[in-house]
Amino acid sequence: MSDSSSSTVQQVVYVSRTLARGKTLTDIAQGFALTASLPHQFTGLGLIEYQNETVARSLYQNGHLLYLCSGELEQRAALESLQNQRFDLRGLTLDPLSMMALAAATTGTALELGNNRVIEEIDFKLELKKQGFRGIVMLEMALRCVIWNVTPESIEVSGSLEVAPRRRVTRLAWTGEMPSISMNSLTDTQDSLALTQTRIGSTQTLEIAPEGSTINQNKPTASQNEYIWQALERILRVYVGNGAVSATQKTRRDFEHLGDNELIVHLHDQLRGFGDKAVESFKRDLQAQSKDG
Amino acid sequence: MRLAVIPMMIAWGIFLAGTVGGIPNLSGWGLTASSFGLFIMFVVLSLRGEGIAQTFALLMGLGYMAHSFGDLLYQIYPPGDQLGFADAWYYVAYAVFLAASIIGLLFISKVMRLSSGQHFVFAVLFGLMVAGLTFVFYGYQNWAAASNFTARFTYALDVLLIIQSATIFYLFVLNAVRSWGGTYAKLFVLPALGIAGALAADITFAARRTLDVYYLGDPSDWLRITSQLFMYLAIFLVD
Repeated sequence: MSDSSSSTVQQVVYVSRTLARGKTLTDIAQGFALTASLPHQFTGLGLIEYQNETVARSLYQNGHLLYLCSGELEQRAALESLQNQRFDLRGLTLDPLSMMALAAATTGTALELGNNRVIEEIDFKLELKKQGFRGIVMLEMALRCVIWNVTPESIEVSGSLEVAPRRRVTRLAWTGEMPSISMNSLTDTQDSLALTQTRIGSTQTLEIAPEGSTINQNKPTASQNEYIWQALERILRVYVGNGAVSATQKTRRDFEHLGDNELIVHLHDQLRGFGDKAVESFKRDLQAQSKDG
Repeated sequence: MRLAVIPMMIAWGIFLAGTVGGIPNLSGWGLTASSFGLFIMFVVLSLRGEGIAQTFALLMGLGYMAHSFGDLLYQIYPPGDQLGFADAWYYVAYAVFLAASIIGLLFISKVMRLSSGQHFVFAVLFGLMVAGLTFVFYGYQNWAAASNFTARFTYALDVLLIIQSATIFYLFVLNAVRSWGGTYAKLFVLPALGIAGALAADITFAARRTLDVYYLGDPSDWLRITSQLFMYLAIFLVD
């Protein structure tokens, strides 16, 4: 996004706040305009507050506004709406992304953001689904940072990159134009994006998919998700015995079009009626099979 | 759950002492103890279970709590003088059992992607058919013989109990058949037999010429406590 709209830009005063990890923006600047790019190489979450209420949430990547949502508005529409509002925004709180397990910006209820907690992907997706979460999630899982575009209908992987092991400061930095991550872009570019991960002492460059060509891990072929159906049948056989085969076939017929992740989330919901042991057993079965496979 | 043997033995001991030993009304206390024991055992089972099995066990426990209230009322008040209060508690108990059977039906149908609505209709029709046949063979005579409002009200509730218990029996059998070979079949097959015994007890009760007769070794009492034996066995085997 160009800064041609700066004449209407609302000047935002940062509210000083001690954050759990990393440096606060006050160490960098006292205030800045709410634009698509910061004058600082900041990476992390931004909460734009007015009278102690969060009016918008943003995700910055190396100083560029990656994602913004305000109420039901997202991206450019949200930015323009906020810029055009005449009320005095109380402040913008930024939470650095360094050493975070999770960063999220959402149009719904805010998640517990930035916690350095252990997250199990399947459970976390279930949690997102239950909360009706909608927005962008960056999740650091082991040595991989996954970026998800979460809608009520699906959770799609929009990109991923290798990250440093824990205890090492990881800075994520986009090179070139600002990425769009399969959303309504804040940028005008559709170029393929090079994602540079700058570690202390080393740099790696990874390709991330351009808008419209989402890395789609969710549309597997029948043979790829065969292990899921086998695991389901094994669990069902324990509880409903001989009927497990036909139950699995019918479930398969109805939900085969779903991607792996959505399918697993759906099956978890279904198996939860048997109790947590069934879900755990299903998870273990899947993990065992994926290791074997 | 091996613990189930204890209340079952106590209840049968009291029942047999009353029936075989010829101690007036003691058999009824045996029935009360049996229902109360099932209430406790099903609640314990629900605490140990999870998922839909937990809900099922809890509902069965609550049902037997209401059942034991009914048994207790029968012990305190003679059947002809109570305006059907005891039967009203049985009615509540069977309504809760019915809820448990419906929850089982819905869950198993959902998991196995089978129909539930039409089978529920079949189950209710089966209940109406059994109650109708009971009325045809016995009921009209008893209805005619009922001397007052209390007797007729009690009899009407008994017909409702027959509809309920037959419906529950159908649903339990259906759930057991659908989950045959799995752990859930255990959850339904013995309770199905238990409800069948209760149904037989209800029919036997309704088949009497008069409601005012209450004697030791009543066939309906034998059927009822035997039906509850199946419930104890279910608890014993499931957990």
